[in-house]
Amino acid sequence: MTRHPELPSELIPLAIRGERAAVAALVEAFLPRVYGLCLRMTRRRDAADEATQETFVRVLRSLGKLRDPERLASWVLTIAANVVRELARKRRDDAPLDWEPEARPDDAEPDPRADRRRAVDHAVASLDRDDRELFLLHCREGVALAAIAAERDASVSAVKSKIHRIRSRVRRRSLSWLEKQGASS
Amino acid sequence: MSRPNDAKLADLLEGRLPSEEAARVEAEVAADSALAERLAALASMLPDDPDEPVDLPEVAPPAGMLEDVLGRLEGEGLVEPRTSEVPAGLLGATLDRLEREGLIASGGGAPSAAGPSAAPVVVARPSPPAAPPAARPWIAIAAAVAITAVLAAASGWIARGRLSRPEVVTVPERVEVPVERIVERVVEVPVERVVEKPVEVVRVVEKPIEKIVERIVTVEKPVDRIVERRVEVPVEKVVEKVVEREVAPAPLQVASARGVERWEAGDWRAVETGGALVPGTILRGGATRSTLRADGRRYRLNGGLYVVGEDRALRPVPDHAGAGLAARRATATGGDLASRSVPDLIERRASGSSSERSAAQSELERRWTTLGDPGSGGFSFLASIADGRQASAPRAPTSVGGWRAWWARVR
Repeated sequence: MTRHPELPSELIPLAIRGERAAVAALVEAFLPRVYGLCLRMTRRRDAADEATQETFVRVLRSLGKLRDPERLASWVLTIAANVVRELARKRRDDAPLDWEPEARPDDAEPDPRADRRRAVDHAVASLDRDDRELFLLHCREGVALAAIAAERDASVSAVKSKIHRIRSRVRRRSLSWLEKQGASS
Repeated sequence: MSRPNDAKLADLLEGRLPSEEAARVEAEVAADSALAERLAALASMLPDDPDEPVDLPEVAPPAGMLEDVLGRLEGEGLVEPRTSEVPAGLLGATLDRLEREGLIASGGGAPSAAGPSAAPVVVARPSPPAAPPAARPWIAIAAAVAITAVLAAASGWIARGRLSRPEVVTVPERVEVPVERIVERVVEVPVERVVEKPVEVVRVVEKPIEKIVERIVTVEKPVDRIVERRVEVPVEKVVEKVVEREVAPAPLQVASARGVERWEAGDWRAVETGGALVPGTILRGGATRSTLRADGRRYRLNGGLYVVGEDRALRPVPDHAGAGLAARRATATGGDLASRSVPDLIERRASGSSSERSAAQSELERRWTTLGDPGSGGFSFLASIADGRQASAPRAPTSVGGWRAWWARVR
């Protein structure tokens, strides 16, 4: 899997000072991951846009409090997850979802690896909001269990157990989706 | 016990099953290729390592989102605003245009202090670069002030719509000029009034910091109990019991018999057609043409003794009556060793010199071979033949006593 390039730690002090080039580099480095996380969590494009912008505002506001620059990515993505949760609480609207994981194009060549990726994406989309957030943060974005546990005021072992339960569910649902696709094509 | 479903297999992959159940499911998977295939398919969906990132399709942000985010950050005052640069020559071109339109007067002069509303404005054009600022600093300062004034005035005109031509662009830009000198002045200001205000002195008592005791409790992690599980696997036990039974050898079935007798109950009796002859039965034939057909074989018994063997075949018995006759004949003839009687030889074996004893022993052994030895009594010798114990037949005596006993039997 390709990881997005992360921000060189030398740019962080410049971004804290508000220097445009450094801030632009920070946003550019994390925009795909933050937007992807927000979109998969909300499954609505307007909500993902809003959450993405709000995430970077909060990141810039509190970047000076970041103690460990090595954890910048986890920190940014955890803020994004918190923003999504907060905005969802505020909105409480029933606007229809307008984003679905991609399906296999009709004219696409068979590609088992790409099919597997799509199957897992669909399985993740079928999870409930909390499980989806947990899976995306840890299993997709690599946020440490300890950081998630601290954020949720839970024990590491409890979070770990939950992660295994969710992974088990994702395995079953993705295989089931893959088989349905195979049967329908 | 039900077959493991997908949920059970996925839980096995995630290590969520208790050890005993996991072992059972693994055993079922090992024994069932369809289950093994299913398990492999489930395993391929996610990386084995829970910390390894899961591969998902990339989601690209909408076009222009980077600019949107930066604009929002700029609006929040979190990033410095974008700097705009005035294209080279724009200022000169703007002033020329303003002159042509009659909005400004050409020529030098001090800048007007009037605001944008006091048009036309007399402005000073910037001096050409031939005059360095160090030589004529007032020119640079004047030019800067003039430009600022022109721009401010132009902005006001444009705002009011008096310059309706869209191609005229004004850029409100501050121009920095070098500082020529800094004059430091000390200004003394008289104190108008002094206000005396009583100040309450508060005594600050330092509170001692409570001692922080960090108690480290070491809790030994209990060792997981190791349970040795013994699985009893039923094994089919096969006991082979060997029972040895003595089976009597099958008798010889007589197809036909002519002139053949058998020894039975102390007397010779005729063998009858259809009778059975058990091994060990002693037979004898008549003088001539005595025949016996049995088990597909035909025997001719010409005046001798026969015994039925274990292999159901007839075997001849040596002629002992003839042997006794030959012994008596040898005794009567006498002569040197070869011609001497057996008692004589025995006597010589007992009392002669060493060479005589040796020669007598040799001669006695020759006689023993010739005459034979009927054995200790009855039909014991015949019985030994019937039993197939020919290998253990008696050997020639080696002592005087043995020779005397033999002679007593043969004589």
